[in-house]
Amino acid sequence: MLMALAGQPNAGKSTVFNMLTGARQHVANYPGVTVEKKVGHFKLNGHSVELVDLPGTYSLTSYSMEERVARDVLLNGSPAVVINVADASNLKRHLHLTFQLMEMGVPLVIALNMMDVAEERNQRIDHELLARKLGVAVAPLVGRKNTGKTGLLAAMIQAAGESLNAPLRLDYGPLEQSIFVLEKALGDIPDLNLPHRWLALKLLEADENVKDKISEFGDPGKEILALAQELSASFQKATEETADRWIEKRRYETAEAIAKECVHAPDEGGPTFSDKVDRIICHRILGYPILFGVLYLMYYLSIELGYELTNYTWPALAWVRETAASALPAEGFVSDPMLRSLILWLVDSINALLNYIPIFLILFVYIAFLEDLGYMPRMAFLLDAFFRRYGLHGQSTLPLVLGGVYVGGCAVPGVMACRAVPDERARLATILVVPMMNCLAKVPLYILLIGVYFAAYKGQAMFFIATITILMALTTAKLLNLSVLRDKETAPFIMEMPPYHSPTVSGVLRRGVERVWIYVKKITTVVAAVSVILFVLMQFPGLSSEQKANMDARAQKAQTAFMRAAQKTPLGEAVNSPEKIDQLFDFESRYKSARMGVTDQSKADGIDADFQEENANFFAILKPGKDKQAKTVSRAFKKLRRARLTLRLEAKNEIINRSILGGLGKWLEPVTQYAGFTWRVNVALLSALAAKENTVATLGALYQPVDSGDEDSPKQDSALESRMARQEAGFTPLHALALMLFMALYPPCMAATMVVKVQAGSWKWMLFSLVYMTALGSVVAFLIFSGGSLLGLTGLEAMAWFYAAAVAAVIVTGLIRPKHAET
Amino acid sequence: MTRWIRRWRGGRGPQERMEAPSAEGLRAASRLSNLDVGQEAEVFGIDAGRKARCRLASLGLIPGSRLRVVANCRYGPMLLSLGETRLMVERGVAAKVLVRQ
Repeated sequence: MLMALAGQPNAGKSTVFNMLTGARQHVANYPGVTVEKKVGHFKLNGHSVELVDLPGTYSLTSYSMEERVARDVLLNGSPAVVINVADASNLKRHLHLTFQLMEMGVPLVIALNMMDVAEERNQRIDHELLARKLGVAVAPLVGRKNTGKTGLLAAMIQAAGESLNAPLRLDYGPLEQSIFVLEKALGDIPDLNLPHRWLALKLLEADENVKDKISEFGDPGKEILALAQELSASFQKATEETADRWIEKRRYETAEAIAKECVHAPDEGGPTFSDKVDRIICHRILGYPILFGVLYLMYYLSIELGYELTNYTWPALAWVRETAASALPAEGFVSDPMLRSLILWLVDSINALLNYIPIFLILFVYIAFLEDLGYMPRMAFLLDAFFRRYGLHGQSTLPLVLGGVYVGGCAVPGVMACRAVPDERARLATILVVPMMNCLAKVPLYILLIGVYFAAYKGQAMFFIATITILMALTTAKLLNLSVLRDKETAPFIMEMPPYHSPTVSGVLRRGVERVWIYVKKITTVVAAVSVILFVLMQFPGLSSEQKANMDARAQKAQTAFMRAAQKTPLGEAVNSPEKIDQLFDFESRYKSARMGVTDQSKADGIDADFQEENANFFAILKPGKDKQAKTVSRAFKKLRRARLTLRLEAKNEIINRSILGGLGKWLEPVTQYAGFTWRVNVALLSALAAKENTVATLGALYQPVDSGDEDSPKQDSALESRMARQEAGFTPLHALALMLFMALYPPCMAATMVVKVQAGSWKWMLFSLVYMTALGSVVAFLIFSGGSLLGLTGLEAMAWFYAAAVAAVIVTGLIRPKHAET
Repeated sequence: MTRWIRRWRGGRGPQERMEAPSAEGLRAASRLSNLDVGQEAEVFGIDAGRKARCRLASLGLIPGSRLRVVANCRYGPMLLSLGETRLMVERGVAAKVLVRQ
């Protein structure tokens, strides 16, 4: 059995939904659109019921996506019962929707929520009288305190059964004549199983959707459309009022009359508590520092504290990797078994994102808190005027902040938050520019490049990259508005400002965790799939047989040398074959990871004892102590280890060099050289498509360390900074600047791209976002590098000029007024 | 220069054109966007497009409703109070709502 929850926004639909289903729900999108669809299940009188939470709408016209979706479910889903959640403290306005639901002929129950709020405002509501007046069951509720559920269930059972209700029929006075004529004409069309009175009213209102539907019926349909037009024209002539205005007016008059009889309220007093608070929060000057403080606190709590927290959660992720590593086939001498490399690559890719969970948890909980408090609409109110100038919307603030307006966000939750932007044009513009923000994963590359090439101007360079993105995003949003988005639907900024509520701990926590879970699910599946593809692209076809033979020969030589050295000692027996040498390396790496971070002496001794017990010979090689012969072997082993490391890195580099991705990087070099990118940079950027974290990791693999002198930690070679500076000798700050800006504008990672697809609702927009961002990034990088070289600018000069140009572009585009938007 | 500054600030200033209100309305009429914080007024005409009008109507702002201005900062949207409802209305739309006090 299907039931639906309908109601205006802020009527408490979600609370009623949770009350009925016990929050056993899943959230999805309605097919094809970005409107959220919540579905839950519960048992009613032995029947299992599927409850759909319709999007909150003030009305049921066809002007917005939400209203069209809600209407569609009501008409085509034929729910057994529709529960209309209404706010008792604002009954008059909520009845407006109730009347429209009654006209649609759906079996209705009214859940009169927020009785407590009404009481606080000294309103006494006679719900029994209301039920008699409306002719439908009315169940008073206090959703937040979970009271009134029994009454609601009883009313639902009654409504689902035999319908005894005779819902109120609104009297439209002089328009009734026209309604009657149209109803009769509609009756002549067979197979029209929609309520005729509702259709007649919608036709008189000239509702586009209904007109389309009727015109599907061929000639009789067209006749009806002509008739409707004629009738509303003559109505207008007679009353000097258009039919749609008249219908609205009658609904309000009826609602007012009913509310007057059923609600005993004192005259509306002066400003409420919320109004008083809003005098400060929405103040034209004070409002902005408060807004800044709220946003700063969000950064501070999530980025700073969240980062602190990752120090505690990272060991868990590291443990997963360790466990996987020890369960997989052991490392080879030159290259590792395919299965091992693949799985560890996969684990590393996913771990890189799971590492952000503490940050996201704090972020989402904080946002849920602001939402419940009611601050979000205030934020939109304060920034709407500014953002409008660039074709965005007051509600674009949150997505941009989440994406990382300053530094450190993530495009995935940012794009997900675009759902709240009610205006389609502004929503698409926001979705398209959010990925330009500085997500957390872009930061390591910035730090790397600034550290190498702008070392003397770190502060300025960081400020530049942190603020340039929002400047470019504003300009881009405006230009998109003037071009590709020109014909998209817009909505006037007319929004309800809900009163402040005090958030509950459980509600806030539950929503925060829910959203983190959605993030985890989306990320892990997408990233897992993409990282496997990337792995293949970076590994195949692998080494040529000659290279392999060459490396094997070198490996053998090194091994033989080691074995010969060991042979002269009693330890020789333990390492007399390549297999045993591999075991020794495995032993060493396990020992190292066991000892990592252990500072306590007695604990360290315990670990030593365990390993000594496992294999005393191997342990002697690692820790020769004062034993002369063991020392000889240990020295030989160090030499072998160095040789092995060189071979492994050479192989790794050679594999990437020969791989499909490496080939692509080289193939692009003739073009990208004008932006200053070498093929290695190209490969790093291509790998960033999977996740931006990959850039620095790939560069790390590409700029292989030359033989290191540091014997204790051969894996942690000299810093990537110096490696890069040494190996890309021709690189200048101008190269670095072009690369940083390209990184900022470059298409989002795969995960964000998928979310763009989901939120924009089509593959077309996803492709568009990929293409335009790549194009924009290329043009900017090209301008910086080629233009800068031509003019002989230094990196810092180019930076200053570019910043000035971006500020100018923001001011100029802000002044462009689009052709007057239809409102 | 001042014209450019005004354009930047988004206000269209006092030269805003009035759209043919009825003779009787003209006497007492004022634009909603010109009201100050705390002022109360009654709506008597909405000259906005269909979409904006429908949206206003579904939130309770129709000819005949009484409202009070909670915030109006001369640029950006206005905050209105209509009975129990608080409403944000963008300046462009508010300029098309005719009110009398």
